[in-house]
Parts: sequence; structure tokens; C-alpha cells
Amino acid sequence: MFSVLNRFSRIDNGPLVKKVFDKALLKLSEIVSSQFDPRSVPESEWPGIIKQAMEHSMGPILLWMVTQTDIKISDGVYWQPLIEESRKNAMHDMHLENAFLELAKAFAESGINAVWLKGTALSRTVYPDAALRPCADLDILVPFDQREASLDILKSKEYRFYDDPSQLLPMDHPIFLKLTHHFHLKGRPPASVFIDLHFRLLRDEELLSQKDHKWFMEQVQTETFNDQVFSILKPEAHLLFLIAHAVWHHEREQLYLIWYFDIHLLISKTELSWKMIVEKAIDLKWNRTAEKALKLCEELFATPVPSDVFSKLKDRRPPGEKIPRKFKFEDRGFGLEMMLQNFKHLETKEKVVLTFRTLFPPAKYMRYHYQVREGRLVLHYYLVRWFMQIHHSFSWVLKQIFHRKKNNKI
Amino acid sequence: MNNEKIDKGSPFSFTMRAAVPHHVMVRAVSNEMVVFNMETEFFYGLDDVGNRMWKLLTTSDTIQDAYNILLTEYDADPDTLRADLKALIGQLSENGLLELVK
Repeated sequence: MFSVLNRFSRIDNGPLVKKVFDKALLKLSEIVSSQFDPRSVPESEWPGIIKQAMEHSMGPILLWMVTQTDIKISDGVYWQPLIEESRKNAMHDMHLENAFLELAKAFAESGINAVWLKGTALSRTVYPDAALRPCADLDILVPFDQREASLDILKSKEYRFYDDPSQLLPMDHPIFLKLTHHFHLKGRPPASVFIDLHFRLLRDEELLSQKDHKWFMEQVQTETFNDQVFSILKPEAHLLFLIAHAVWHHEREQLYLIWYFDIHLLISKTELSWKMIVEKAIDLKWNRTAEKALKLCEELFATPVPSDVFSKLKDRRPPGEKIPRKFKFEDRGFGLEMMLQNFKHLETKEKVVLTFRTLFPPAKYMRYHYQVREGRLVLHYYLVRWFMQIHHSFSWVLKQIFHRKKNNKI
Repeated sequence: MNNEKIDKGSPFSFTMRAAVPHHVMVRAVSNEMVVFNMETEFFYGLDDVGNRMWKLLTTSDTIQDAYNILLTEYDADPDTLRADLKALIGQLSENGLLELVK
């Protein structure tokens, strides 16, 4: 089956842009959602499917689906990278589980109302086996006023802020801590488990106000794993969060299949109140976002979304609906817009520091983002960076003028 | 029932029972098994035959019972199979991945 998936490109009701996804990706989606029997896949197609699976963190679940059949994976050399990745993931998963049980206990004993999010929660509730859901880190949400106490607990377990070369500022820099919605920490070797300690669900308060965040914090239920009680979001709230996370939080990145597979499994394996989901999505002004995510899941995985959900979301678009930036503008100028958003939260001196850092990032940041090997000069990459920044900023300004003129005409 | 554990590396008999210690975690990967000793922080891999032996050892009442089932599943010389199973148990016990109980 070859399917064409739609992507919104305009905030008004302009023409939709059709985006064609890789055939192997579509086939992978069909296999993992049991729409397509892996035994019917021609051998020549497996390398492409496996490549997609590994890029989208779907390797373990694909391997698991295949080994449920009589396909002999020892026959094909192209299976080896998948087996190797699944092996590594299994090892990493055991470290994560160890850390999860230790921290769940520590938070409970300290009276911290910790809520486990995303893969950490889903792997133990909707996935057939926890190891089938690769997790780069453990995501924990705590109340804002408990974040420092939670941080102290993590530090007592030898977790530390880590030096992330992809970030402009160190993780424990006062400006970074002011702008971020979660602390990033790393445990001691050899496990070196990464923790994202959230105290807000989403970074941008325009997308999720404090009042709405409070609603999410009230939507909590308990589960038990290996005799350890832990809290997760109720399925409706978790679904809305996963949708927002997949569509907005990483909006600059392309489709990451595992996030949508999470949504698919949550919908398929849980009793949901769709009435509540639709009403809350409308209340949050997340109509178009929910439509996009659910439509993608429906097309990729044949996720059972009730047919009236889309019509209700479409017919009841609220004024001032929150449209993700990527829907409003193309990628260019995103960095400038992010910076202007950040400035709202900073004092003048901090704005100067951030601007300087943006223009003159550290060498390790340049090496990471421009993939410059150690030992090679990075100086000329600054020129590249400045050129792109000027170019994108100029494009963004032009778009602002264009949209303003258009809105004035309407 | 006598649940006395024997020390690592001590001689054992097939009338004993094998158990997974609390500090050991396992994950299945395809037909293999990855075993993790949380105390030593070392990982071990079992191939498909080792995986099957592990599963039977940890679910059977005695090692002898596990051996008897393996005899029906594998077309191997009984003495060779017994020696292989004994060697695997020895390695697992030595590395803290299996406890042997009288």
C-alpha cells in the first residue's frame, strides 16, 4: 500500500502541501502496526526497512515482530545491525530500569510528586516489553516548587549537569536555567543514565499556560512495576502531551516515527475518553495540532481514531488557535524568533550575554553543529554561521512584513 | 523444602534447583538473551541454545528436570549435553548470574 500523507503548510485554509514519505518507512509502519505480514516482504526490501527502523528507534519492535514469525533472521547479513542495535538497547534498558526503580523509590520516600513521562511510562504500560521502546533518557515531571528538592535527590544519587556540546550555554548556566523547562543531568559511568527533570511540560508558556499546566499535573494515576509504585499521566492527558511534544517540541526536526508509534499504542491499548480529549484539545486551542498528529497516526498505523474526532476539531476551531511556528513560517528565521521569545524572560545584561553567545558560540558547539572533526579549524565556520543568520533573519523580517500586509488586506 | 544456597564455584548436583539472583536482570533479543549483573555491572550474552538452557534452568524444579526436557528437544549425545549444561551452569554461577539451591 502506498499512501500519501498531507502536511499543513499555511495557517489559513490555503492549499495543502502533499509530502510523500519514503516507501520503506511506510512499509515499516505497516509491519509494526500488524497491517502487513513481514513474511510477505521481498528480501530486497528488508535493508531499506531496517535502515528506517534504526533511524526512527523502531529497531527493537521491528525485530520483535519479525521473530514472532518463522522468518530466519540468521539467513540475511542485513539483520546483523538490527540485532546489534537491539542488543545494545537491551543493555541500556536494563541500566534505565535500574535507575528508574531507584529514583521512583527515592522520590516517593521524599514526598516528591514525580510523574513519569513519555517512553519511561509507555514502555511499562503499553509496550509488550519495556526493552522494545528505546529511551535515550528518563523523563520525570515534578511540580515547579519541588524542582530544587528533586534536583537535590538526583545529585545525591550522583547525577550531574552534563556538558552538552549541542547547547549554546552550559546546562547549569543561570540563563539556561531561566529559559529551560527541564534540567538535563547525567549519571555516573558505566550506566551514564540521562535524566530530563521537567518542571514544565512545554517550554513555551504561550502554548501551555500555567493554568493549563496545572490541569495536567492533576491528571495523574499510579501504576506498579516490579513492586514499585510510580505515577504517570492519565491516558487522555498523556495523549495530549505526546501530541504536543511530537508536533511542537521538536518542530524543527522531521518526523520521528517512534513518537507517533507511542501515540498509536496509547490509543490502541487504552480505554480513552475521546470526548474529554476533544474538549480539552479545543480548550487548549490545540485543534490543528491534534488533527495533524492523529491524522498521521491514522495513515501510518491505521490507528483507531473515531471518525467524528476530526470533524469536531475542525468545526470548533477557537479564535486565537495556537498554531505551531512551523505552520506559520518556514524554518528560516526560526532561530531569530526563538531568540526574541527568550528575550522576554531575560534582563538586559542577560540578553547581551545570550546574543554574544549566539554570535560567538564555543568551538565544541561549532564542531557539533557543523560536524567538524577534532583537529580541524572551525574559524571559517563562524563566517558560514553569520552569513546564514543574516540570511535567515532577513527572510524572517520579509515574511513578517508580508504576513502583516496580508492580514491588513483581509 | 531446604532452600540452602551453595557458594559460587562449589560443586553441585543435578538434584539442586537454579534460581535468578535479585541482582540479575535479563532481556530477550531475538532468540538470544542479554544478562546483566547489577553488582559487577557486566553484561553477558547467551545464544539461542544458552537462552533455552537458561529458561529451563530457571523455571524447572531441579537441574535434572531441565536436563530431561533438553534431551527431548536437542538431538545431542546425552553425556555431551550433560557436560555442556554443567559447564554453562558453572560459568553462570561463577559470574554471579545464577544461584544454586539445595
